[in-house]
Amino acid sequence: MIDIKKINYSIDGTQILNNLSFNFEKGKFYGILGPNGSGKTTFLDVLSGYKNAPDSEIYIEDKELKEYSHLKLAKKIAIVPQKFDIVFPFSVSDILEMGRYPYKKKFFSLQKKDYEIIDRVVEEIGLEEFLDKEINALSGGEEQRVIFGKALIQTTPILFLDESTSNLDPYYSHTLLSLVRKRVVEEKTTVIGVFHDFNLASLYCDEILLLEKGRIVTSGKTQEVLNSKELEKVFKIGWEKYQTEKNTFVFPRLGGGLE
Amino acid sequence: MKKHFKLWTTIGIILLIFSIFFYLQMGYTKIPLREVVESMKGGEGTPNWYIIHEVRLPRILTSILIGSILSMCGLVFQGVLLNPLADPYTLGISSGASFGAALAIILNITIFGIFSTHIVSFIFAILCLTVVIKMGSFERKMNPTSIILGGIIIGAFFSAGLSFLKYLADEGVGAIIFWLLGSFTGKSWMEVSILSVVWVFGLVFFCYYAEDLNILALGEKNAISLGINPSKIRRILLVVSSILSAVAVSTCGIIGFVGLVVPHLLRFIMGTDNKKLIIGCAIWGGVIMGAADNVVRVVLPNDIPVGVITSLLGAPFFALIFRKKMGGGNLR
Repeated sequence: MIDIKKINYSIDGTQILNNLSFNFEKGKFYGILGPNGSGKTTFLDVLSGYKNAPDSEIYIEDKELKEYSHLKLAKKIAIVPQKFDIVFPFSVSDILEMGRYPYKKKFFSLQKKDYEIIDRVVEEIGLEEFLDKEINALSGGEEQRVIFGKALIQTTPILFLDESTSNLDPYYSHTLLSLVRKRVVEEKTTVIGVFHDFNLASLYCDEILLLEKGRIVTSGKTQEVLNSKELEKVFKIGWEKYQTEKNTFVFPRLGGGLE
Repeated sequence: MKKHFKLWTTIGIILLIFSIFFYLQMGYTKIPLREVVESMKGGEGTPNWYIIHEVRLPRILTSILIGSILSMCGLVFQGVLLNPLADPYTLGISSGASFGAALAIILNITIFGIFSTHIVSFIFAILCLTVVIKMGSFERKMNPTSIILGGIIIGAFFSAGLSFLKYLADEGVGAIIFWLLGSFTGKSWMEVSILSVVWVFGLVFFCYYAEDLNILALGEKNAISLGINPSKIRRILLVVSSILSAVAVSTCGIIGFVGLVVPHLLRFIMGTDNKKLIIGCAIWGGVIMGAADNVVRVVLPNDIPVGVITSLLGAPFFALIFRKKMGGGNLR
């Protein structure tokens, strides 16, 4: 699905991504973990075409990333960014309709099929009551659900989540991630999500990539990575582990004589 | 507040058509409506026909077209630069155009015939635009903040140049000042035809890009993920709307505040969707400017330049809307 032969990316001589390579398979949910500044967001930015890494070789559905136009790529990859700032007070339904932009012909209005897709997502995420409201009048979490909805309405085979659930309460974090999980299982969507909450990653991800200083330290099945020694090393704190039948949950261990 | 796009568009169009007939009656010579309507069918040669067709109609149409163009450009500037305070003159175009016009007046440039002043001022407006866009672009990417900053720098430079020219002009300063204060006095079918062509082009072009303008408001990352190249869209829209504004400024001088106020007014009644706002600005910009010029022409003595009126009335009006809007804690 996404075959990365190599990515090198640097800003002003500082190497942010260092000779990364990985092969993301179709229909899997990948989680990216790593400390602040390890290059997680930059990694997604390069893959989504937002940042241009000249020294890289990336194939998306067997075609090189550099050969995609912005519009073609928008039909392959949708992103839910970490933060956004909408300057003018668009209504929620305006913003959701923008999710169909890559498929829309200029001077034509949206088709019936487009509205069906929008209606379905509105129902799934529970946005009905917000449709006529201005985006600026919503709370941070509500706003994030709208942007999440916009990305789902884009109906792409690949979805990037950049700490997309950081503003959401547990109910909506799980509702949205379950929705995404359902798309992974039923529609073979490929999802790559950056997480800071390891336990969310543990519940939803098939595989995990552990990033440090622009390199992949280790990668593999979620439970294996969460149990690995590297996790302790990379995050520089000890982890208490709690094992259930299917999942591993980890909690930071209080250190420095505070116990 | 519910936003009624269709209602306000219909009201605007009806108002525009009726107001043209209404304004045609008014002026130094009162002409009854019946005669105005009859003169549309024919009757060339009579003094009233001449007044209607060669004096009043071109002036009214010019004012409507200029109002419409400036409002559309204002909307596009605000959307492209993501700044609610932007207007058609943000890139320093008015300063460049003023400087060019003053230069043409002082040096008595006549190589382009009677339109020399207009053409020289247009050339300087475009020069301004080119420099500002160069200043605002780094590695083919365009940053709204540096564009605005570039506009301020270039604007200041040409304003200083203009002051210097005024100082040099001595007795000719009256002609410069009169030119700078925007006015529709003595506009002919020549101006109307140029502006009509520009207007049609602008309207179609902006409608084509209205949706991209919406998406720019979601921020760089969201825009790219929806398949837009923000730098490219910004450059295209800035260049086109600047050229349109330059045409407006070089034909009628500087008419302030319309390009800033009308888009805000319409956001108030139509919402934020630029697809609707472009149409709204095209219509209501014309309605408002037409009314302003008629007040100047008919009600006030001495044919005061309309630019003075739009700014005098526009500023307090704008303050009023913003006070009201800020009351809701939402400046935009």
